[in-house]
Amino acid sequence: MASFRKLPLLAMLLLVQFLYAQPKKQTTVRPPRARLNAIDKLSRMPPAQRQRELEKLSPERRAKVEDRLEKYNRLPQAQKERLRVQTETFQNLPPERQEAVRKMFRRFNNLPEDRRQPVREELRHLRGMPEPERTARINSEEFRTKYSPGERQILENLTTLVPPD
Amino acid sequence: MQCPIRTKENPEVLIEYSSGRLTPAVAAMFQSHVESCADCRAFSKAQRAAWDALDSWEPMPITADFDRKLYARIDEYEKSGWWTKLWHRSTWQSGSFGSAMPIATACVTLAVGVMLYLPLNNKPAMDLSAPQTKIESSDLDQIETTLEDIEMFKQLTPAAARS
Repeated sequence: MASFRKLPLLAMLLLVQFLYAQPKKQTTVRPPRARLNAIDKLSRMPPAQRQRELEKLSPERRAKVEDRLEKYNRLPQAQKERLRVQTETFQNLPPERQEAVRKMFRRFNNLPEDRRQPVREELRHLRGMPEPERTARINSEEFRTKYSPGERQILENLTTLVPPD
Repeated sequence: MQCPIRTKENPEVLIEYSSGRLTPAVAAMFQSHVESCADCRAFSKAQRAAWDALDSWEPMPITADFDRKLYARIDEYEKSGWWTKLWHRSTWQSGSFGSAMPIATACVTLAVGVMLYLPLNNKPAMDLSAPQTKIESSDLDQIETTLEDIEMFKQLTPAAARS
């Protein structure tokens, strides 16, 4: 009989141990395609529901997401498709390579406004060139005089790191 | 007279002698045996000591309304529901229901544990392709990063430059 009376205590101990041993809720890393689909889903939500979902973010982050989502939704379908493919390809790269590209992009964004356009144009040219021609261009006198050391580093890194279209 | 301790016959004679319940004739006969038998004398002495102790014991005084209170509680118990009766039986008596309450408590505790555990682990993963489902904070982080990446490609590879 005494052993029966200990049952609740035993059960409670098991319960405490059971709950304590529960793994912490882990963040699920979605594949790139699922993340892009989530953006579409967020776009399709009624405004009130989207607002509720975005309220989980801080006001600053929420404003950024809303702004980017709005800009993305205004893009022509063809451009959207191209960006989706580029982003998916990019997000399938190793995380450290992705981070290196983002870091270079942040440096690009910190360039003066009047320097961003020529750098952007040069990047487009370089990415469209075959490898030997690109190397020759990067080593050319014109390239060295036209761009600052910081700009040259951004161009070289982004040309190498960003996957081809 | 034969010794009841050695022969293990008629032991009640020894007990009745010790408590003074033998007839005077039998008591006189047994008295002569006790005087010559050390075992019976020792047993009888111990028995008399026990009886003397019981005779000198005084029960504790009770309050004047003890009986009234007792019968009131009995009535209350009789009128109470089955759950209260079950509780009283399992709490105060050791019987067939004595184990019911601990088992029931253990079952309830385990059931609570299972209820707490199952929603945590069996919660289906969010289907990002399903419409109108909630978006978790961790997914929002990934959406935020993806929008940043889209913005990055939009700036680095503008559409006009490609056409």
